[in-house]
Amino acid sequence: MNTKTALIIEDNAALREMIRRRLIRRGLAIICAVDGESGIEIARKEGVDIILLDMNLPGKNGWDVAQKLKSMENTAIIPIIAITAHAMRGDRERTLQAGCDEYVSKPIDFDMLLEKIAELMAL
Amino acid sequence: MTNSLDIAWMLVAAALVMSMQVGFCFLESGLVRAKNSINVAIKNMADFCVSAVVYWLFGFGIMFGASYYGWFGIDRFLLNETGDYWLTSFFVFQMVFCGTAITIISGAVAERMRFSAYLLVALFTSGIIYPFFGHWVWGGVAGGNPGWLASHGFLDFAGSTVVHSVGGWVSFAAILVIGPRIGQFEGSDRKIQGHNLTLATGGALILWVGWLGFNGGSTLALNADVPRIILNTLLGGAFGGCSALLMAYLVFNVARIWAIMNGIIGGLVSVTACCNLISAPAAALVGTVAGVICFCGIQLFERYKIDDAVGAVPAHAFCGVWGTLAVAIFGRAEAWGTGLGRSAQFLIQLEGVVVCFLWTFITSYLFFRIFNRIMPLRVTKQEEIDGLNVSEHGATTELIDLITEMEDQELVGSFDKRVHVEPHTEVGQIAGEYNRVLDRVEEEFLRREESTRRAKQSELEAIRANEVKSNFLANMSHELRTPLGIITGYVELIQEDMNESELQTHMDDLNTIAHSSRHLLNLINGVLDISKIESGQMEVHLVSIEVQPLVDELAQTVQPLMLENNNKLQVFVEEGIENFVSDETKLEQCLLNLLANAAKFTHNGTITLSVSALAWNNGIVCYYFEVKDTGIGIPEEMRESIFQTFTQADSSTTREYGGTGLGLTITRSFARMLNGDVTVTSEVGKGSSFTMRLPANLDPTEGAARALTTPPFPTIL
Repeated sequence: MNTKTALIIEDNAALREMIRRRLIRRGLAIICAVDGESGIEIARKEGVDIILLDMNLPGKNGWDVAQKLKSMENTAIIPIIAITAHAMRGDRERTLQAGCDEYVSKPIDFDMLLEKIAELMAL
Repeated sequence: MTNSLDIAWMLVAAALVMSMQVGFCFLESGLVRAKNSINVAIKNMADFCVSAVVYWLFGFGIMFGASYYGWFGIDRFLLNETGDYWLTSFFVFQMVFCGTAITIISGAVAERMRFSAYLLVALFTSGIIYPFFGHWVWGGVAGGNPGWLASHGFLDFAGSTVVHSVGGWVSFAAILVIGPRIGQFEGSDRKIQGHNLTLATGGALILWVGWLGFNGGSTLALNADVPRIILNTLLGGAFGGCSALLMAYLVFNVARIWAIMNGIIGGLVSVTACCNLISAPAAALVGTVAGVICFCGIQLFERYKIDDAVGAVPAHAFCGVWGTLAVAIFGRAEAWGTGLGRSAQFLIQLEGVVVCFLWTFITSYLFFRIFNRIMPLRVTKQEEIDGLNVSEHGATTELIDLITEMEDQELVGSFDKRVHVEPHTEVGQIAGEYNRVLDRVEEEFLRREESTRRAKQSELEAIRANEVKSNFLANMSHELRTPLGIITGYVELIQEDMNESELQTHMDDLNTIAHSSRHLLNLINGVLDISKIESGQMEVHLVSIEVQPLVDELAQTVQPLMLENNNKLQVFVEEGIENFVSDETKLEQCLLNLLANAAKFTHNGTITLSVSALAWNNGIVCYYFEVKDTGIGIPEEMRESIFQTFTQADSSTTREYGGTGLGLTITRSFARMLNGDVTVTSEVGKGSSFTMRLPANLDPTEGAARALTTPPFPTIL
């Protein structure tokens, strides 16, 4: 099978569940993580194809997670889509600087998210 | 042979003459400024000490000793006659005379001559100038051959020339050498004023009293001449005072104090030489003329900027000359005892006067010039400014203490302390008043500081409150967006589920939820945008924008909106427009807002989006995005307020047409952030036209810097 796997790192359970269910419907395999540490751990061990990363995480925040992922050899190539609150000044630059490949803001425009996932995984 | 009454009269007269020291002391110290008063008083006292010592040691001997060919006496030094009462009395009388001649000088040179130098002047005058000239005129009075001027027939009864002119001419030489006081002839008409004219006036009166002994005692006997002499003395002083006063009225229209005082002294000086030889009317005339001479002399000195602090030279030297000449003019020839005719006597008098001037003035002028080289006669500029009381004697007065304290405060610039208040004195009252003024000023300063502080505080509070508000809105919007995102997400999830299972129940309800959620989300996004703009967190991202594709995409996006009210969309892009630099997201958002508004307020009409380029008034090329509709239009009075938050043309339009009321506010803010603007023209019932102007010359590298500038945005929310 050629099923692609997406890792969702998101602390909000409802949001995480909603994204998970809607992406499964589109034929993706989903792994979830509730915080940055466990997300990095999963990305390192499991072979994931794309990571959806909430920037506003408890503990280790999204920027640190993205940097960490991009600095490790076996996770560096995994594309990351940052999900941000789009509230604070400089968010956009910072996510891209931290190594994220794309950027969507909350509330998530699902069609746009799908488009970006497709783009990144086609590469 | 000696009559004890004569002795008694001579001694009483000596006491009266000595009281003139008091008179001079008061007169001169009253006529100077307070900062020099003590110095002048002390000079008056010290010069008497010096002259008395010198006169006893050798002055009297030179003046009244056995004459050496009429030039100077050669015995009676350190006089110690035990048996000759008359000679002792005569010595006492002459000793106080000498003191009088010397003390005249202290007034003229007041306020600037060094104290030690003054003592030397006193020594020089009492030891040399006075006794030599005195011998020429009076030598032989106490026995022996007469002096050479006396043998020529020169008459000077009580010393108009011998005492007063000598003192006056020495003063004249001294003031020419030391020069005028600082500030006397500089700038304004305001001359240096005496600090205590009451004291000076009292001093002049004491002088007058003393003069009765000065002239009255000069008979050296209590004889028939004494009453007339005293009468003439009184008349001379009184007429001198009156004539000088009259002059003051004529010239200044005011009874100047110095005029009457100097007039009296001038009158007294002038009758001193002739009071034993003239009639009472003549004495009145002599005094009258003396008053005029004295007044004019003072005026003359002022004109030539010769600074005589108390008018000593005109009063003593000039009037002394006049009085001496008056002997030959008004004196009874038979009483002269010289056997000369009037004109011959006048020439002799003139000779004496001229000899006095030549000897006294020239000698002392040369002496002062030489002496001034060795040791300056004058105090330093700073000492003069500080006042001789302090600089010469370390002596202060309440006034000086107060001024010093005030100056210290002025220099340091610290006003938290108060000056010392000497109770029950005028200066103390001034000090008290000064302290009260300081209190009041301090109070006022505190009040101002307090209000400034309050103003600053409330300004800070206002800024902080605005920040808190903006942050609160940003945070709240963010917090609201998360659950709202979940709601819309789950609605879409359910819709997807239902589509999959081909269930159509509640589909309309779900659509309503989705629609309302989107509306709420738009509202929150709008509020978030505005709070970001307000708190300066809105960023500008300048990129090169392809105009045609952007417009095409927009047309596609708004197509569903157009269909809602059965509107048609037309798009025109002027030829030659390809791309320009601006913030794409914001431009898109603005155009979407304008198009959505047009679609909302137009039914069955046409909406036109046209893009054109045009040089604006400052020469910068601008792009114009015009959105024109054929809708309901906007009343004129509303055309500005629609750009304010939550404002629509009519509150009823909100109910009918929906919308957040934030779109135009954000649009205009964005346009202004991009150095452009949005304007509107409209006609009610026919339609509206919104034009967004954006400059085409923005530099993409400016982006970061531009985000920092606060947009020209009215305070809202």
